[in-house]
Amino acid sequence: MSQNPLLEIKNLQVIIGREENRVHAVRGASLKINEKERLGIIGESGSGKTLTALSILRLLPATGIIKEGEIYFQGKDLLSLSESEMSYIRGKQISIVFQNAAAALNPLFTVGQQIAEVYRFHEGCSAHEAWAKAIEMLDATGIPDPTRRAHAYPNQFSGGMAQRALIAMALVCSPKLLIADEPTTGLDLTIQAQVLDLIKDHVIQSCSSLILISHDIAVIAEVCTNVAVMYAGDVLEVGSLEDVFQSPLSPYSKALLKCFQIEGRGQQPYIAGKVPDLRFQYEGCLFAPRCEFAADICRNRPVLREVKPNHWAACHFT
Amino acid sequence: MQAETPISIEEKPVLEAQSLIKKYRIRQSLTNRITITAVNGISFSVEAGETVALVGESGCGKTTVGKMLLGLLEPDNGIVFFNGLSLTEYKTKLRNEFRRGVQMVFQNPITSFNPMMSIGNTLIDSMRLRDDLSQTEKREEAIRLLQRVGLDPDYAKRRPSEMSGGQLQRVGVARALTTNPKVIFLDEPTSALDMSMRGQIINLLLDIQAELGLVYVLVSHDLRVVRAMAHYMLVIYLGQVMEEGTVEDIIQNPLHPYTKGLLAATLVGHVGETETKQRVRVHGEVLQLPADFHGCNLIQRCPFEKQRCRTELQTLEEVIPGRKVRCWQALDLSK
Repeated sequence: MSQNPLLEIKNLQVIIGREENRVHAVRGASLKINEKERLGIIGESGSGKTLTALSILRLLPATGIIKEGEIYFQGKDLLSLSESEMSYIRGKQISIVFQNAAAALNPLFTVGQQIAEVYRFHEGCSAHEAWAKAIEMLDATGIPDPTRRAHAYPNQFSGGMAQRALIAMALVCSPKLLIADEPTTGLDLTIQAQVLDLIKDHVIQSCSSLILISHDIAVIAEVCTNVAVMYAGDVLEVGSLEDVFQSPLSPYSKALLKCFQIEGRGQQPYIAGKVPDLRFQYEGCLFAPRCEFAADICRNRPVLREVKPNHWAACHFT
Repeated sequence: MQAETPISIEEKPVLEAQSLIKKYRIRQSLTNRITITAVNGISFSVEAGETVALVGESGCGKTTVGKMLLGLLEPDNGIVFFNGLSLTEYKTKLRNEFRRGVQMVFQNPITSFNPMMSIGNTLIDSMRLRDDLSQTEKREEAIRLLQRVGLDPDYAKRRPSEMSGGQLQRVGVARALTTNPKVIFLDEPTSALDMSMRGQIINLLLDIQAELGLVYVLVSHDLRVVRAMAHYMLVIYLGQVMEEGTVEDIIQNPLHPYTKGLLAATLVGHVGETETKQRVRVHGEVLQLPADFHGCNLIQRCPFEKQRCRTELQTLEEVIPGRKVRCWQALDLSK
């Protein structure tokens, strides 16, 4: 990876929940993303991928705290910024598209107002200009009849259209980095394909970077250039899409990829065992209890290292 | 399967749907009511030990078909046969026999259990129709079923909140088996589960089917699950079958533009094969077509639309042996 990544996360640790439900959700995750890179983060539920993304924008829920770690965006330490400095980064430099679009939009304002508000806050233009920009963005994201639709309330939008509106809002200030957190979950297949095309085209056109979070390999294969595999709050493998999907290094990636390969009717592969209880601390490799190659050495936590050029894995056996 | 081999007398299908039609009257505004055809002439039949998959997006009518198969909804037209008898016959005298014979596994295991009831009692409760068992036998049967689906008998004491999604879905399968059914309706049985768990549930369902010769009706939008489980599939759009045939045939060579679009949106088979053969994109969203419209349902969404698609009613034709497609261009497009 090049010397100056756009975003760098170092040893991020996030704790969430209160008292006995306190969960160490992210356990030392490290990631880098370069300019024009489209990074897909894949992992099952509870692997800490969403919390990692929310940490970048410092939007963790009230019970969540960043215990340790550093996040650098264009060389700036995001975790040391004040709340007001952060609000100039959110939406302008780094934007996020949430999973459930209908819930992410404010039901009391029209879609146009919500997009215009973001633009006006960051660009300081007149309300009129901001409204025109909102319509332009709705048009660019493929909403039919945008002039009329800008006056509609979120409940008048279908799931696919609400997701488009949310993407329009995220892209209105042309951010350097777009984070999309499961942007197509809950959408129909044909709509899902359209929304992914939309995100990919806009990111390529505006030469920005993308972090796409998904549990679906098909979604990531469709859009991304690079992949990070997360498990139980840790990053187990990072590399280019081809490297990770065609010659995975970590046993977890291998097993997970196998779960997606369906050759025909009949018995399917799966990963035995279950995800570790994240309330507790573990010394060794987090995947070891489910790993077929586990040995004594796995009692020590493996670190993410560059096994092949630009292909990183956290496993003693690579 | 009806499309491939004509049914002989000894091979009667366990479940058969004949041109099911269901219309809903929905209110658009205070005074304006419109009729929507949710299911428009769907037919299929399944024999023991086989799985038929209904594939389609939300609003295509798969839930309505499911409700009609389970006898929860009266079709406006068409008949459902179970073991050679029509549902209306079961309604009058053999009601309980039908209810024992057809069971369901729900999509979301977390919400489909009574949170106040232990797993054991949930299973015993769903054996109410088993008048052949005493209370002790029911308890033993519940334990046997838990073991059959790969769970420890101790789980009978647990509440749903003390179990994971994958474990609960196993209980969901056990619950469907309590009445010794012939048919199980699977409504997206794996969509709420993690990827690493999905295979376990699929394998369990396949094992049970092979052992008991059950008929599965699988509803799913995930073509990977369909490929792993089903023999035969129907691709449904706006209440109509767009394409039907054996699963492998359709996945290897989809003929209808809509099926092509669905397949292009999923990676089926090899991971890393990022270049899908045909990148067909169905554009726009599901349209509510006017009642007097007589053309193809996929109008304005199909990338291959021609003038003829607007004016001509499309019929489901057997274009190659064993494959029916509702598109006049089907064979030209596959070249």
